[in-house]
Amino acid sequence: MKKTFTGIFRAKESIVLAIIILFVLILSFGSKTFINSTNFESLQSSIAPSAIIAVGMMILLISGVFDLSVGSVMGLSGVVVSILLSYNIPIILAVAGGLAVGIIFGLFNGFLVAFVKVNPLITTIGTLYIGRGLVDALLRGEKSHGVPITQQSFIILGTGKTLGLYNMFWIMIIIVVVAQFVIQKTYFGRQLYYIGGNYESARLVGIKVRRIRLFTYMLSGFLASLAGLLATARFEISSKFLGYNLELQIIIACLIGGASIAGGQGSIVGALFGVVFMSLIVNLFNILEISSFWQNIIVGAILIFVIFLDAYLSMRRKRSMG
Amino acid sequence: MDKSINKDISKLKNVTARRSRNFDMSRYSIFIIVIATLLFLSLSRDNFFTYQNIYSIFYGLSIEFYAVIGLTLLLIMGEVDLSIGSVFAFAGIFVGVMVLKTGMPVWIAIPVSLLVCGVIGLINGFFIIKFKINSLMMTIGTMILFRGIADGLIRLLEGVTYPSEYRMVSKIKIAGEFNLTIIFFILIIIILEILLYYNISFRKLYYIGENIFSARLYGIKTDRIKMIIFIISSIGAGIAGILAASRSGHSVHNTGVGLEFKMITAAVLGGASLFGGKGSILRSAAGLLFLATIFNGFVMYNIDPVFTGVVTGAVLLIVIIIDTRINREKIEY
Amino acid sequence: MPEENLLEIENISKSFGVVRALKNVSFSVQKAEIHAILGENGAGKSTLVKIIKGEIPHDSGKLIFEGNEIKIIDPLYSISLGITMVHQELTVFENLSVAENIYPNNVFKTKGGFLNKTAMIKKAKENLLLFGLDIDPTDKITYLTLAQKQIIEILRSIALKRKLIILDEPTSGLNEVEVKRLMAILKRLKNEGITILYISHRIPEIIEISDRVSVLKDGSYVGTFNNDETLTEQKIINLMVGREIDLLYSKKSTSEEILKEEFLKLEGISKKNSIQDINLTLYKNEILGIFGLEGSGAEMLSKILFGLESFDKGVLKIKNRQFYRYSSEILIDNGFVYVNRNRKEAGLFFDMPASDNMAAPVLKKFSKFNFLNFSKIQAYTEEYIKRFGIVIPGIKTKPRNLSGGNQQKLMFSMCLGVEPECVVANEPTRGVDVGAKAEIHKFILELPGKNTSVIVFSSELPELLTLCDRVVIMETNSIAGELEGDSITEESIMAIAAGSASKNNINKPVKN
Repeated sequence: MKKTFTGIFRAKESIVLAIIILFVLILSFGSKTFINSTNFESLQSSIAPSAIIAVGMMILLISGVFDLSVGSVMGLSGVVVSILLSYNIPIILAVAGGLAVGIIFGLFNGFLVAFVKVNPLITTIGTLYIGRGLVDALLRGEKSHGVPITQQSFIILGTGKTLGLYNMFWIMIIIVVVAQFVIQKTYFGRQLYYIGGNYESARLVGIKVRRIRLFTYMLSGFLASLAGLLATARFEISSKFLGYNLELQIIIACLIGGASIAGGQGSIVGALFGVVFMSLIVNLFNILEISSFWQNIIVGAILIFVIFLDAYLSMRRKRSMG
Repeated sequence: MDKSINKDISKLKNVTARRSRNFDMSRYSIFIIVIATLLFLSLSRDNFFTYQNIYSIFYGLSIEFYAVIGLTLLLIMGEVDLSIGSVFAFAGIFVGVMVLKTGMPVWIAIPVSLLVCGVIGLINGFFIIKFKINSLMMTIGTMILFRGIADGLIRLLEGVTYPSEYRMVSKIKIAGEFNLTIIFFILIIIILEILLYYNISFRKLYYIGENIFSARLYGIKTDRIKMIIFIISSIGAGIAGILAASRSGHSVHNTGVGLEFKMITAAVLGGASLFGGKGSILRSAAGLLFLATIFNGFVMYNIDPVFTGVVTGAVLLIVIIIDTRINREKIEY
Repeated sequence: MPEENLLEIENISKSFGVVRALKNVSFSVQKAEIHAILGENGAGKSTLVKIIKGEIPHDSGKLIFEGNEIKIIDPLYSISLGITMVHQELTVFENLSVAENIYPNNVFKTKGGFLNKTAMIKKAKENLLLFGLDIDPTDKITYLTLAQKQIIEILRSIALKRKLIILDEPTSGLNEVEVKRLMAILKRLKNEGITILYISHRIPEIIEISDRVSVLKDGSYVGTFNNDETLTEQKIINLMVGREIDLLYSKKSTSEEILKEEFLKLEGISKKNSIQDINLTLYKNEILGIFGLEGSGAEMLSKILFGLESFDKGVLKIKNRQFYRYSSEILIDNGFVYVNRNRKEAGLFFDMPASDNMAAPVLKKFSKFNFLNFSKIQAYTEEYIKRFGIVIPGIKTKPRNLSGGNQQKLMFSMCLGVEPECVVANEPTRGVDVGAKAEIHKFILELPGKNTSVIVFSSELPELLTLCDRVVIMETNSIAGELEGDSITEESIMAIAAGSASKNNINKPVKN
């Protein structure tokens, strides 16, 4: 009999964690490049932003929906901040502007899915396009290679370190811990599981499903913006390609980490593990110098496999129910 | 008995008038929109209504068109195929690779490429039908997979121009004037419209989309039909991709990205619905024409083409919102 | 006296198109009583319940709950008043634990917004034991049996402080032990002041548990009776079914067309968690009736019979050809058609013109070289409209806009165009008005004369009387008995069905 309350680790997450540990061990002994401190750093800066976004995505997945616009929101936020800074707008306001991008997109997505009841896939793909389009529009002409950032006090957000780890990594840890805590221990967090488990029943027991939906989308957008800001600060320049195609990697990571497209399952820690797993794989590819051609194929194949597995398990679950 | 029947009929007529989903208007609204846009642009911009310009719009249309055929048929059945953009890219570059790297003649390479596309459609159909995986999800998977493969192949042929036999394929002209593709475009639309209206096999698509359970009940072989259409969709995307590659003459990065959504937008503009049961090839083509005209209008008005992304996304959203409002049966997200 | 009434139903009427589902129904439900609502299918029970729940509006009359008239028609509103229903299709959260299912609300929310898990688990454990369930509250609910899940739903209703709990056929799908446990729980609820509305057709259970019984028949209210010594099984049956014999429901005389040739044979058909060991024979040109109320397994059998559901064990023989698995396609190829009762689910194309519907089963017939001949289809549609008296403004009208009876007639027309050898009809006149009913019956009776055999699944006793040469009675997922010719009467059918329910055969396992 499976228990839901005992501890943070459930079967699936434990397996992923085990695989990760195995991976790390193999890589550490097998490759000099892996243990290298530069590699370690680049791992952090690829894991941290993705994990932050994955937190938002996992919350949405638990409640039964998802958001495909996170990648473009990430990129757009970075672009917006860099442009604002280039006009010498005070850092606080520039940051607020960048974060506002995510909140606005989240509001839009959430409204359409929760209140107008449009399919979340199409909605968030639509916003994905709009986001990408805006990025292209903003980075035109001389700006097309990105807008460099000179304000040190902003850059430090991305490059600063505390106790040997990047600040953004610490931020990620804080977000993950807080989110996991909320999901597990607060009433609000549990409501997400109810909504994902049975939307209509959740509604009928008085849970404010639409409001929560809207909020979770806004949260997802906000986190995507945050990640975009941190990444842009780290690289000291905004880029057209930031976040490109990231949304799918994040969904894969979440699925690996225990979520189900059907909703009602998953944990924040699982999302983190999934992101770490995916990042390690990509890192492995780079170390082995596998061409991006093959990288794409493998990622695509993993995606199909994970989706298939998820669908298959969901079907099995449905069949065994009275 | 007669009197009461008359009373009932008139009661029903009122009910029908009140409650009926009277959307016969929507069948023609796309044409009205297209004509309105054409008129607007013709009147406001001198260089719009020139033979050159209009011809080039139709030429582009006649190439992309093949990707929307399969998609429309799938939408009628209540399914969707998001991999068409990747298959589009893949097919074109695959021919190039075959021809340039293995010396295969173009007229063999093209069918081979289309065969592979057919296999992709088969894979899609297999998982969607046999394993009951949602078509949205499954085709995203194939989309990513083949986008990766296509990108890799494109890198292989970086900067290389396609041989002239390949480039000629899209440029064949009849009577020195009209591209063969445009002729086919018109012919196919006419033939398919007739088939969709009169032919049993095509009408079955509407039954499947309207209520797949009822369709099965009356002996319609839903699995087989769906599989066939998935294959057609991929092959259609392949044809479009090959023609597009032929037209451009060399490998292009990110070709076909977003094609699937452009096609969905066009089809839904033309009256198809994500919820199935509706759609027509002619009207999907009209939807495509509308989009093409809008983007042409951008050029006319000197609007930076960067904005096409935003506009596509916006139109997609609007069109889907309307589709959801009109056609969705009470599902909650 | 009025203050004791939790719910007053005053002159509630409801029609669906031309079908009058409820006619001036009035009675009251007292606080803390177990009040049973009894009636055949089509008597109006589920319509009444839906109105009480706030799912559909009533046409006239009033509902008064705790002294106030219910003016807002919204399920969420009714729930907020304290009215709740435990459905047959449960509304549990499969992905969560038992305790979380019992307490989905914020009862255990502390000031900071935290969830007091330990308290929730403890309270859940207490309540579970109180109601005789030795389950660990932290277990995931998906592993529980149907009976246990049902009790969890009831516990949820209590936790959410509901005042009126409606139970709709709660014991279909439960074995004897589970039924006893449920009864004990209901008695306990009553002692705690909760009112129960118990809808069922299982007379023995009703006699055991209820304080009062209200009977509905054909949409009208018959009466409310105290559950005392005067209320016998026989009396109840009479109240539910006793009818004046009139022309519409004339008893069928034996038909000469029946041949002793076995047309269809079911041997040992079983499905997990559903019907068990069904053995059935259909003779050529016979009209066989299968009687079964909710939960008897008849619905599942009808779906299996038509390939809409699969079976796990057994074999189906059609004219000596054996099938261990099949689909609708195979059946159609063998001359079967299926007339469904839930037309929206499978049977009609709700938003396509009637002519398209008519054409669907017979596309080949109206085409040349695979191209349809629309004028022929039009003529064909018009012919059936006339023949059946389908009330329809035009052949392009969509079934959505027709009344239930006309939809049913349309579906019959569709099926008969195939000139089938066998028609399987599932509740052919459910939700259909009296006039249309008679016409459909007449049509079915003509079928054997055209060399067509018929199986009719029905829970409407008069219908079975009118139509059938033989009647098989199903109860609790197996066959309880069979009647032939003159011995088919409403009382005899009901006696077998109710009697079987009272025996509650423990030998026949309901669940694997």
